[in-house]
Amino acid sequence: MLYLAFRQMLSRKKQTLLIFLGVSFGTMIYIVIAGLQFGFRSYLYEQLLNNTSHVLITGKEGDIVEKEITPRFFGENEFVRWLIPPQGKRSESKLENPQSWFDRLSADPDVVAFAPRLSISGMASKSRHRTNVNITGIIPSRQVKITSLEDYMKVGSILDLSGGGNKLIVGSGVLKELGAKVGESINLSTGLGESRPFKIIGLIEMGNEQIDKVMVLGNIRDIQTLNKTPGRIGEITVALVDIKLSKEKADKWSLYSNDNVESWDEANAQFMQMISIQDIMRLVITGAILLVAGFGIYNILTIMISQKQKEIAILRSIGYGPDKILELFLFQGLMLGFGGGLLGIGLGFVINLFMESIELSMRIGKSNHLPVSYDLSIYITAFAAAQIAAAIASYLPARAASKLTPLEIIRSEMG
Amino acid sequence: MSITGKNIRKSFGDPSIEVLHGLDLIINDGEFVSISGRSGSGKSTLLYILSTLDKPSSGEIEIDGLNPYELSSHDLHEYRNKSVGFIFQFHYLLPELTALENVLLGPRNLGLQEEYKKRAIELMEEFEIGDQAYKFPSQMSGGQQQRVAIARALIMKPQYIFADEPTGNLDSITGLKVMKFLQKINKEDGTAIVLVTHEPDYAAMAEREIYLIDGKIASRDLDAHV
Repeated sequence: MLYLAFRQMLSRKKQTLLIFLGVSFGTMIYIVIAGLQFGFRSYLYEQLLNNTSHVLITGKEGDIVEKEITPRFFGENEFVRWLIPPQGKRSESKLENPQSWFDRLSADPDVVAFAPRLSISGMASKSRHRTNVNITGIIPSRQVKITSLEDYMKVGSILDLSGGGNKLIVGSGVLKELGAKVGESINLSTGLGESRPFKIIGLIEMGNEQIDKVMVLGNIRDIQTLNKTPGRIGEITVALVDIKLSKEKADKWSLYSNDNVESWDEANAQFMQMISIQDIMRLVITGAILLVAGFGIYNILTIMISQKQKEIAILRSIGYGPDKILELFLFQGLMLGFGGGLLGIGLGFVINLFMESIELSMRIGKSNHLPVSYDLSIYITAFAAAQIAAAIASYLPARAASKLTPLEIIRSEMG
Repeated sequence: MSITGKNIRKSFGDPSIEVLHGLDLIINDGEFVSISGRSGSGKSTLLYILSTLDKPSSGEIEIDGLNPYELSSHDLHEYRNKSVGFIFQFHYLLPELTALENVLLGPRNLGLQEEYKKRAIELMEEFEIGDQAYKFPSQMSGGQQQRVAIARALIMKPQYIFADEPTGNLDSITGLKVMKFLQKINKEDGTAIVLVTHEPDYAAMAEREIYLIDGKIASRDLDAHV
């Protein structure tokens, strides 16, 4: 029946072409939208994972307690009676017992690597130029194992921070704000004491202006000293053998201590919600296009079947059974779906190549091109969706045609 | 080898109106039988019951001793494919296929179109439409189209041809030509032909005429009718 189906399609070139293009368009739109969305998503995932890794363990933000504040301002031996006692949340958090985490994580076979960090807010200055920065103290050898920060280094290496010595790697935006260069020194202060000089030994560019403008990395010991909190660990980022284990591990570990343990998706819940909305939008747009294409196939076949009743009657009387009549019209829908799907894949791929080739005036990640995903699953999903839409749209009228008996048609033709 | 109808009744509608009132008849192998009668006498209904396209409301049909309605759907379609040829008043050619492809529709159903191609061309030449083989129906006259339909009905060398007003849409000269073809097929190939017509002249060209009046057989052969 494939031959007859093909001949019937060829005899209606204009209608066939329109539906063919409709299916192609639906498939292409899915590939383009999904390619861009997934491309951006991978870039954002990488950014998020650079920050949180798979699991992020942070200290609980403790309340400010009168007893802890008094000696800092008035000395250990002074009796102070506050009229309005200090209250509020601490601006930084610390892990209660980091060593127990190190032991636990080192013994866990699902943990690939972990890296303790101390993140604080501070001020960077050079001459009269000042800028607010986020200072992160890291253990370089551990940090490179769990993030891809090294890939974003423009000058120097993360490992250059090993051994301390008041060295810094700064974001490209920070350098710009301060008018500094790699090799020069800048001052860092946290507001708790005098500022300290640090030498810039590396430059990093994450491709995100907001991050690059405030990013400062140093050896954790130097940052602890700067913050006057020796030995303090603010958070531990953990990389697992499988990202899918993140939630399970975070839930389990959170039972061990009072510290916050969040999987990367929990830590970025808002972002994940945005991703879900993107997914819904993509599916709605593509679904609507494929629905229109599907209706096109349905309408064309329904009209054709009503026009082809005489031919159906003769085929049935010659001995073509209901299954053959079903095949005749089903094949036409499936051929449109198959051909349209293939063309859509080709067009989608070419458009994505074109989109990716456009040079932007801003950097996104490592380049100044749109991040586009060519994941095979996008193409398989798009093609499968086109096939399913075409199959449903053609099956319904084809089934109706197969149920027509030759005599019914002949009688209706005879009036 | 025959088609036997016993006490065939057929009703339509609600409340039902009986169109055929208990007919008994036999179509013998190689016979040329015409069924004629006025409009509404039930001649086409009888033809479709004899050809298995329709079922009687009651009564029995036997084809070569078998009840066609006890056959599986597959066997019934195979029977129609191999043993029966239909010619309708309207030729019902597939417009997107050439004349030759239309003739080969039956063999194509069995995947035998190449094997039957030679016979198809021979048939078309015999019906003086050999030069039309690669033309589409829209490029042919009504008479040529009907001859393609006859060739299509004959391609599988069927045992029976059922023709429902095959000349109804043709002028008298072409109609006569078609009738002569049918006579020739009957004589030369021994194909049994059951012809429904309202034209007395064409009905008379059959070996035996069944004349229906209001769903009953008025005469069983030409002599009796006359």
